[in-house]
Amino acid sequence: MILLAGAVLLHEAVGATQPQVDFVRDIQPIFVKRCYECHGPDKQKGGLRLDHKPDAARGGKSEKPFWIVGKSAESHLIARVTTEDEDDQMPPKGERLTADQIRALRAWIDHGASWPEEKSHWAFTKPVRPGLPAVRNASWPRNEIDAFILARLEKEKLSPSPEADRATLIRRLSLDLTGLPPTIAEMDAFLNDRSPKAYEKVVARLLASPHCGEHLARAWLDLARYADSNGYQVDLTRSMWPYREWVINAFNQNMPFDQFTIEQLAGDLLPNATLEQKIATGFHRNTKINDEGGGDEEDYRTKAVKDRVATTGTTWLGLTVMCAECHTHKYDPISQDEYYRLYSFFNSTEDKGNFSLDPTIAVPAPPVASRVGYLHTRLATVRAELATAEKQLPADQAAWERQMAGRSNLWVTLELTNAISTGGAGFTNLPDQSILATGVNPIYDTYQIEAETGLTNITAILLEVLPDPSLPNKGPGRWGKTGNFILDELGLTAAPRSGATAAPETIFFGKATADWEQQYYRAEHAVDRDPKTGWAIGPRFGERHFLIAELKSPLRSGTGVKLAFRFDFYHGNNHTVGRLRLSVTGEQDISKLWPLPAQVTELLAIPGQQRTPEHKAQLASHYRALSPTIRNLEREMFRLNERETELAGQKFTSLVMKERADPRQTFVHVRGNFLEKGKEVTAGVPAVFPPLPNDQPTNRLALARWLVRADNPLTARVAVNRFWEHCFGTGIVKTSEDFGKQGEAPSHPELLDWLATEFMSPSPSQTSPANSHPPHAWDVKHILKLIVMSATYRQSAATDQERLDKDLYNRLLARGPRFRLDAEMIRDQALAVSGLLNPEIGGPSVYPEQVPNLWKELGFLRPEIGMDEWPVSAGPDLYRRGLYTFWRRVCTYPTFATFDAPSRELCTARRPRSNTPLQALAALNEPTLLEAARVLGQRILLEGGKDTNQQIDFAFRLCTARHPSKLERERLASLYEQQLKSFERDAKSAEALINHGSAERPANLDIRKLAAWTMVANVLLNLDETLTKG
Amino acid sequence: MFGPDLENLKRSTRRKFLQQCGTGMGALALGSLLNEKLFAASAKDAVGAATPGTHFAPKAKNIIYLFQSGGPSHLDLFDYKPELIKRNGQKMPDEILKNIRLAQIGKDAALLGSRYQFKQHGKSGVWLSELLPHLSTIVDDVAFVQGFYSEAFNHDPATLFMNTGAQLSGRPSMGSWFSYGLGSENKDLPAFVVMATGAGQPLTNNAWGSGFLPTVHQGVQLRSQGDPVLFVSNPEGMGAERRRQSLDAVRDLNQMRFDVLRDPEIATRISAYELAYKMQTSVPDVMDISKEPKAMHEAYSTTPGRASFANNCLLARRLVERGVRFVQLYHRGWDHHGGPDGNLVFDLKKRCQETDQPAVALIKDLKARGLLDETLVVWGGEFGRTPMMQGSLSPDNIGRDHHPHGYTVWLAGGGIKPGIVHGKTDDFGFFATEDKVHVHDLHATILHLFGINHTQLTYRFQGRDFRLTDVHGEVVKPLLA
Repeated sequence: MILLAGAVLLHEAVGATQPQVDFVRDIQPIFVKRCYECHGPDKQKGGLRLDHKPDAARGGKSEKPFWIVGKSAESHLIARVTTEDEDDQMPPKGERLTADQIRALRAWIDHGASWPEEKSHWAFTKPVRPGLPAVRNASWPRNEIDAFILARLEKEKLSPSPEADRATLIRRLSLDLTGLPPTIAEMDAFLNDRSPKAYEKVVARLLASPHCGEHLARAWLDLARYADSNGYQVDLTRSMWPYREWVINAFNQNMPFDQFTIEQLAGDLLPNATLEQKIATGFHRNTKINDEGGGDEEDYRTKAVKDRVATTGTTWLGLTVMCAECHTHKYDPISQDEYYRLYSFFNSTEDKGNFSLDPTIAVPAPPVASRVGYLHTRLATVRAELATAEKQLPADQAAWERQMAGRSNLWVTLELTNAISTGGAGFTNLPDQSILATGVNPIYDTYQIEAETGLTNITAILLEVLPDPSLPNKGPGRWGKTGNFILDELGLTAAPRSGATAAPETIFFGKATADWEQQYYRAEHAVDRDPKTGWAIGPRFGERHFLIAELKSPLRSGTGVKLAFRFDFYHGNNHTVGRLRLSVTGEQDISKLWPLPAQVTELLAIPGQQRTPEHKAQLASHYRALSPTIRNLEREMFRLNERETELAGQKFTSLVMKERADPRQTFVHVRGNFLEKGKEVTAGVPAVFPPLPNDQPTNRLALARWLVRADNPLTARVAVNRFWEHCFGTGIVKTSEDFGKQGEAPSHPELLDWLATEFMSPSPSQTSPANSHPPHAWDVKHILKLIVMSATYRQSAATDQERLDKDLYNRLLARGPRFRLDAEMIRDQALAVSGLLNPEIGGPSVYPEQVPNLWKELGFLRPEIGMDEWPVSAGPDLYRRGLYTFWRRVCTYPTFATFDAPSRELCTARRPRSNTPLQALAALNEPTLLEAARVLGQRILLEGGKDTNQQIDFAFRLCTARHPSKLERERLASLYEQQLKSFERDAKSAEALINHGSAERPANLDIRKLAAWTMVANVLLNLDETLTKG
Repeated sequence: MFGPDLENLKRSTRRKFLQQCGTGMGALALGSLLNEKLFAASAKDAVGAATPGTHFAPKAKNIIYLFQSGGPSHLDLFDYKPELIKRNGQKMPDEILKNIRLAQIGKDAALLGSRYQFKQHGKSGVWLSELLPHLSTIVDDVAFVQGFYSEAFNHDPATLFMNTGAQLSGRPSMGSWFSYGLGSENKDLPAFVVMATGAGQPLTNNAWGSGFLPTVHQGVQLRSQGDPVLFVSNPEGMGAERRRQSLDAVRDLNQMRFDVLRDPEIATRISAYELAYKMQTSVPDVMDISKEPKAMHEAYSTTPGRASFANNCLLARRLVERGVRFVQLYHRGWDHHGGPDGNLVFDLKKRCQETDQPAVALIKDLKARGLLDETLVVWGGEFGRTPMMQGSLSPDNIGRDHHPHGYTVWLAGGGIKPGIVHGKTDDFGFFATEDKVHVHDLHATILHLFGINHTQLTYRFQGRDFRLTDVHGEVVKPLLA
């Protein structure tokens, strides 16, 4: 077993010939880890300071030079780290330096003790457009990019790979530019287009596709840490999708990157800021918000501000600015003061750290049709079921009437006495034997109410909650906003009427039913002995409702009983009952318990022939209300209608940045602790960079503009590197989040600078008439187009031993890019090739199929805010692209998490790209991916052609864009035959397999064939080639 | 299994393939993800430098961490305070509360002496509450760390701190450090497994997340309902035989593609699919406790098919038997502020009934099987509870607030010195005063037991070498056997 962690960080051997010892790579980390604590920026024991070359070389107070260039043996540094004298040896604490480290220090001194100046770190100087290098194979380059790549390949004695075939190219382009695979028609059009511009036409089409904006936005949202929830433990939801939509639109409009930057960081500060510009500032409202009680407001607010500093640093500067939160940055020239100067830019906004989402901004509602479509589908089903149930009614009613014949009301209403409220409410007895709570309405309460009855056999309790003019919204509850209540627990004890000394007996309830239940607050919750769940009646306020609680076993007594009822209201927020009445019954047949109004009892007494049509109608209407089937269907219909009204009238908001009228002072946080204030600082940028202009207020807007100024050395480089990484899998600077000294040096520094300068100001040659739209400054699609038009990009990804030996990780690009698709793309592709994909763009997040109960297992039981479980979407919302999936930070959508999607709690510049068995299990068995296989199976049967070979070719092309080889076709055909035979013997399994998912299945398909093709499609969707962009 | 071209490639990038094919899931994905390091390491190998391994001989091989989520009251379970009982109802002296931030109660809250009886047990003479009758029978196997302390007093940051060494999310959890550092001993099961039971404060999956480490190191949650591992079961209509047939086709077609492209990543994917297939058998197999003997069920008080802490304790033993490196059980519901949602009478008793017997059965069982020596068991929450009362004196409302400044965790097995009490708190059980052990110290000590120097288990992220213990942590030598 290997312990990798301790491995010395080794760099790839693809940079220029590296010196044997590199200060930044080999020496500085030793200083940082083992010496800085006492001899660094914050402390200089003995006067020695090792983070600054002139100070270090001079040595400490001992006045011996710390090293003598070329003479390690005589150098003080070596003496101190090698001495056996315990008083002298360095470091004084912890383990000694390793032999390797000492060897490195010696070699470094002997080879000249080279220590590059801070300023000279390549990334801190402005990029200058380099000339194109000369290449021998002048016919290969298609554009400037290729000159840089080829020059390096020639130096390394490698040659480029041949251009990939057209099928590979169109799939590569489609996946890179839109995140979706090409359709068969698109493939055929490209394959048959013999014009020299064929490739460029495809590029232009894809760049203009609205799915291009979605795909680029998806990557940006990792940087923006976009999510639909607040992020800490309780992790409540937030409405942030308008910001996501803004990003999609910005990319689709090809908004210049400087404007894109300014609007997200400071859109609110622009003169006459538009709604869109304000929505854009959601970028920095994607910070987390604490929903847990007891948290220090300022603690969480400052955490959010720090996150903004870190995210801005990573996203635009490619710097680990956050390292300077507690102490001066150990590698890059950012002091702790400078960190808090950056912090100051974000320190004066109105948002809070705890509970509140404010400030938010109202946004126009998305089209209602797309949001209510599935409701209409469900409504139609419910209506049909209701009609069926109603047909059965008359027969059922006749049976019921026979049963009820001769019975009067079964319930005996109780005289209620001794009502007390532990919270201090008062009670008034009303003439109808009900009781009304008055006076104080405590947050939590428990009522105790007594009654006596002569009934010697009690089987059930009837609790009626009644409206009353004195109650808010007429009640029946006392909660001020609606008149609701939540009865968490109904308790009952009984004692014999005679013999007052006997201890009361606790009575247990079995079942409970109610005429009306609020979603998630069911009748049974009032008797389940779980104080966390309860019965409520929203949104049907101001009406009488009732609950029937059946006793677990009948309560029998000789002469009746004294009853003591207990009503627990633990929910808080004054959710108590306002007016109630209690009755008991001894009826054994539970089907008869539904309380009969006196009038119905009278009607029942009238013989059938003597009933008027009016009587009949009244009776029928009463009986209808008794039927549980009808009750449930009507309740669902009610909810669907209500939901539609709710959706139609729904207000949509997005979180935005807003400056306080009264700016906060900013102090350095000593050791990063917000409670420990150091010196006061004002907003500003680190000294290593060009300064802010003097003639503008130093606010977020100034910072945003400064980031995209032509002399900012980092922003353009960081951005083009990301586009490169997007297409090639690895950036020119591999550590795309860190361009500082601890990041990796660029593999092609001139190319990086050429792209960066081309991004900021496109060269005239690029504005040739060949381009329909001449590129503008900071033109994202121009850079993407340059990259994908290059010969470098178009190479085949096939490799060979020589290429692997010389360049295992393809940093030199002697072959085309090949890497696994991102999590969302795996889903999107499966939906696209099966035809399931709902290509709708934008709008609120959706809830595709997810394993049930995941949230519940983690304890997210917040029914009152509708967040106890993933509310699976219905209809077309099940098949939206992955970027619209509801993103809950503490429970990332499992399939995405498995394929390396981040939780979005923090800015993520680069996703890892792992290759694991759990991914295999997800790709094989995840419900939506399996459904996609089934629906792809249908498509094969319906559209795939006449015979097995044609069908295989059709499906194989959908998944990989190419035709299968003969061997591949044969292998798939034998799989199909094998499966078909097996399903012919096992129709039950076939039926089960093709039943996965809710997508429609045409009735006329042979189920065994469909099952066999589902197997084939499942295999195709799991091929390495399908999961990979090649 | 592999064609000749693949064999050829295997030889050429020997170490990478050894990693991918030889040493299980963690290493497999490492091969793919950290392949640069591995490749570099192999280059380094060639010039004769030592391959990094554990830093010294390990005592423990596996760990079972019984995380009691919510903050169990040390004062009602482990930390007997006669002075606190004597001063019941009085105010806490001001000098103690100076500079203290409290989560929910005010500083004038009354002191609350424990209502439970304490007795001394074993050779260490540790005082245990009557709520822990089972634990009292094995105290000679246990080290009680009574001067333990943390920094955070809210659940979210405190839980993250205990698990990742940082209060903000984004850092790898302890289990993922283990997976990263040591891998798994079992090719067919994940190195780091998490199971959760109970109700109360929610858990967030970043407590077992991999932070900036590759996601293959994140804790894999084994669930008691539905698929024990997400998507491990074949869909209805598929069946094991059909699945094998389809995987054969996947493998053959991937092999054909490899022959054309020679991308090593394809070989990794072939291995991943084969491991996935093995997991389809190995996971349900380990999760099936129904065949455990009746005596075992009685000892743990387990009921097959039900979600319980007891079932998870038995599963934990089955997992470490099979070489799973890090098993973490979360049991929620220890957040006893008072009131019907959690109080020191009904709820605390209930939690103890749920956990005391199975945790002790686990230790006895490990011992009987000779596994305790190499298996470290840790029991503890994200904080303890205040000596001051929250709620009221009525049985269903009596409670205490969150308290990180001094509380108890206990450890057993895996190279821990048995039968000791280490450290103590002041007379109120407020501050850890003697032989204090900080969260970072606990992490350093646990790593030490596994042969890892905590300062050397690092991962480079955003230009910095991160460790589980941040820049702190001392190995607590007196805890070592």
